[in-house]
Amino acid sequence: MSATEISASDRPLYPPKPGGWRRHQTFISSFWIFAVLAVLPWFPLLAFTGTFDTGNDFGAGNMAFVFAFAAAAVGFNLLVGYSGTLGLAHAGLFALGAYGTAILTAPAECLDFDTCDPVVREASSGYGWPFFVALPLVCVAAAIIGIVVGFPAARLKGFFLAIATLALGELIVTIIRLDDDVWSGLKTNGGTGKQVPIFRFWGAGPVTSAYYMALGALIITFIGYVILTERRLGRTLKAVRDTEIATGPIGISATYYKLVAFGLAAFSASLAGAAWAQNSAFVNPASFRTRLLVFLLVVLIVGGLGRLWGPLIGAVFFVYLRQELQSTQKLLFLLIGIALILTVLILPDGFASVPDRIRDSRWAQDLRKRFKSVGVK
Amino acid sequence: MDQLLQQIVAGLEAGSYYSLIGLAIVVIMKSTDVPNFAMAEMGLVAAYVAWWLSDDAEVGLPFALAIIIGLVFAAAFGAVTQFLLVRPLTGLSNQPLAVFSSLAFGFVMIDQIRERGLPAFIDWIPGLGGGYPTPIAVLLSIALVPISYFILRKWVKKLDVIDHFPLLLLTIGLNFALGSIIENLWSSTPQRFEAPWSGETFNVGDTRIGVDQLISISMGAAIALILAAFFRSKWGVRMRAIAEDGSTARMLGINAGAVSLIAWALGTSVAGAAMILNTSSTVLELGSAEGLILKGFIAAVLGGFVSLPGTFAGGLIVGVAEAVVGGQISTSLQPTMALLIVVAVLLISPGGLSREAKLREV
Amino acid sequence: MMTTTTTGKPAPLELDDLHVAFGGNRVLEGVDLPFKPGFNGLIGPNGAGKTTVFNVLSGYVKPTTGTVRMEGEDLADLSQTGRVKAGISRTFQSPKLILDATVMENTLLGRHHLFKWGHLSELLMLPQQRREETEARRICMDMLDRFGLADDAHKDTGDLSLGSQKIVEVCRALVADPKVVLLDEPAAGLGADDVTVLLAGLRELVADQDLCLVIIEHDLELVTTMCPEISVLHFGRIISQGTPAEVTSDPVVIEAYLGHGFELSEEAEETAGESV
Repeated sequence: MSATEISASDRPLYPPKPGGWRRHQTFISSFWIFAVLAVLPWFPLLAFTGTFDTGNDFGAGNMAFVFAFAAAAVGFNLLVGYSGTLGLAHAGLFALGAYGTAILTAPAECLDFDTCDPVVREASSGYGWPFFVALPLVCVAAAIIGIVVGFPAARLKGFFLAIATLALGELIVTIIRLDDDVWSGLKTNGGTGKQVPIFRFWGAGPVTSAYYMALGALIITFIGYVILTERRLGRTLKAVRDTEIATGPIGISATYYKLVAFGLAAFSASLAGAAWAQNSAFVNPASFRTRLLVFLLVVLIVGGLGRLWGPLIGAVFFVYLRQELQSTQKLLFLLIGIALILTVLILPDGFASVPDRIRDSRWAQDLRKRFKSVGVK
Repeated sequence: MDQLLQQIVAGLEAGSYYSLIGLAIVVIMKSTDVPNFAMAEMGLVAAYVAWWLSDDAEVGLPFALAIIIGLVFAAAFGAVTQFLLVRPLTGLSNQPLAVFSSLAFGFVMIDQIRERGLPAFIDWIPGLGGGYPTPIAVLLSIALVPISYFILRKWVKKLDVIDHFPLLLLTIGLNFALGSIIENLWSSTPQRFEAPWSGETFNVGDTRIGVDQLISISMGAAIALILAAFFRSKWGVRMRAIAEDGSTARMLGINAGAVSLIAWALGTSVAGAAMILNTSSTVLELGSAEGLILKGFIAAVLGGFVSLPGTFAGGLIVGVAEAVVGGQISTSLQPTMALLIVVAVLLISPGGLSREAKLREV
Repeated sequence: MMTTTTTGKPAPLELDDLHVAFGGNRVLEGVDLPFKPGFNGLIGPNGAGKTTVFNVLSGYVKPTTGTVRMEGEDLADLSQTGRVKAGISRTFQSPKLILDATVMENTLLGRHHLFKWGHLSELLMLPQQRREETEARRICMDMLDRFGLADDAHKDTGDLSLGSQKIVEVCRALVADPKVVLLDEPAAGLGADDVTVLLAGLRELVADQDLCLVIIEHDLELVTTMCPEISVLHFGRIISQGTPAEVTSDPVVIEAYLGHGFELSEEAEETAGESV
């Protein structure tokens, strides 16, 4: 801590951090975790289980799904966990990212209708933009749409806001689905779905590229989340969540900050959606319905609402379950259901809170006392 | 403009189902303050039971008897759910939950361990993969029962007030779990569930109207009226008191436990009635509940979550709008109507259609 | 009708013929309240409308008729944020704080309207933003120090006693560079030590910064000792206004609220003598 960051009375202005490596604990642990994830494709996992064995396409593909869901959940976390706003349009915003990038980057060559096979034309026509030009544009557009979706937040609270935003999210997906039936020009190919051209990194295969795309999305959203929540935005959002009545007399516009949260959440959702589309190679409106939203909620809640690693843990849990139980679909929903019920009852702060709960529990404290008295540090 | 009458009737029929589910949601919300996402699914369980008892399936009882038993089952089911899942969260004992869940858990695990052995990530321990003979499976899961019991007893929070959001998640989980259970108990193929009046129609001018449609609409209205009367009665007042302020109500001598049980029983029977009417008019299948729950919530939102007439009207409005727009303009627009209506109404009137609607905090 | 203080400046805060009604419920009727610099007390039985006065001042409630003036300027058109910038700050009867954030973070919220560097610069981690934040923290730490909470600055607010939490809320209100501070029952629930620290701190600040403080309180000894000027609200009307001595000997007040047998302490008599 620099000398300027001490007050006149010699008190530290920032919370004192433990010395040594613990000072930057969050940074260091995140760095290592992401570093490991980045080199993973070269070191196929020992049987953590077939689901995530990155030595084969299938496992790497699953990991990409994990990253994409986690990235979406990070934005969701900011909106629901930090600002306490129930904005449930996330699935629709996710769809915007997926469809947006798919449409903009699909090749335009089949626009000469006479020479093109009609099926191919519909499924693959687009505007032919480069991927990394389309991506930021789509995300910014989604952020703006997210803010529009969030407008009801000015007048609605709690449950009503949840239903309104849920409806708006569904509306987005419906608009996508009805293209070519009711209106045309969006090139979404309606209910049949659209192929997604896969962006390849320097000669890597499609699955590996998708893996890194999704990991990149996760890292970006993660970094943004960490920076913003550690600083003023974080405490302002918490003020909106916990002390909304008092925010007016402090000079904090609750509505403004809810909209900011909506915008940020939409940005990350669309980024995640674009990455997800790269991985599944095909988008179709049915994949973005309310069921997706519930999956995202499961990821977030089971992982840990308001917690840093919640989204990633939850995403691992969900994708693992989905893969393992693919043959017995019935059991999947049963287990998800039970997981949700148990989480609410036992672990309201999700799996990510387990280390904290153990540390704070009585028997751990007793253990610590016993160690101290024996002189062991 | 042709077929307008037919569309309106169809819309009123669908709207009745939305209203009834919405009313069930509001009953439970008004009295125990729980947003029950599993409402339609719970009703569907009752409908399946009624079907299974009826002469379309195994047991072969006459239709009327089957649905009466089905409704009674619904009431019991609702009460049991409240007793096991919701009570622990309201400051009362979590023992029944712990006992029931551990046993259920053990029972399910027997099946799983027998078939699949232990989870794949322990696979690399030599000899532990694959299925197990029944006795070992039983022993292993018996070992799991006390562990889970202990965990549940110790860690399930006993709070006086729990936010709506965790409760909503809880019921979403329940919704999924029930869907799975239905699929396991009965098959996933759609079933015919015939009422004595199914297929009968009559004509009004040029339009053909189904008797089942008429019955659904009138039953919907009748149930709504009964509920309205009920809530004016002594029990109704007690229910509202519990929801407003549970601990104070208890201090005033209202037996919160009994009132909550009755509320859930009542709400679930209404949902059961809705699903029985729906599935006997259309078809009985797993997905029957999925579309309805959202529309039911929309109807409840339109009623501000407190007003029974508002909810009832809201559901009908959505149903008719869907049918008329779908018929007159384009069928593709049908699913959008409910969404547009709810967004429009909430923007104009944040508390829903009713005058007495308040804004509830989640 | 504007009042001026004896120094000729317009009153730091005044309510002029204020009427507030919710539907048929008339909460405030014809309330004339000129506040003076320094400590002003607002007392009265429960339900008299004291918190409603605060709610009007901080912009939650629009008066049916009447004006609110700060240093001569009408506040009517100002939004809540506008009022903060104009210099009005308040606390609440039960503290509205983020329980899982630190004391420092809660206090920092008070400086929010004074930050010039926005959130984008925060995301980009610009040094100017960091400097502004450090400076804000310095100001907050000094304020917390005044009230004896400097050692608790980095503790979770939820871990503090209710009394300390109320003081945190007072600090939050004070770091906003206010000209007028509205304190809603600041001493309720505080132990005697806390009250002493609180009042000493407030006295210093009032002297240093020429603040206008309005305190709603039920503790009569406290109010009469601290406030040279007291107003009594009863069923939405002002029934008495003046020094502690004047107000406590006013028969209307005794009848409506005080009861017989209340005696001014010596300290209070002194305060009464000091009134401007």
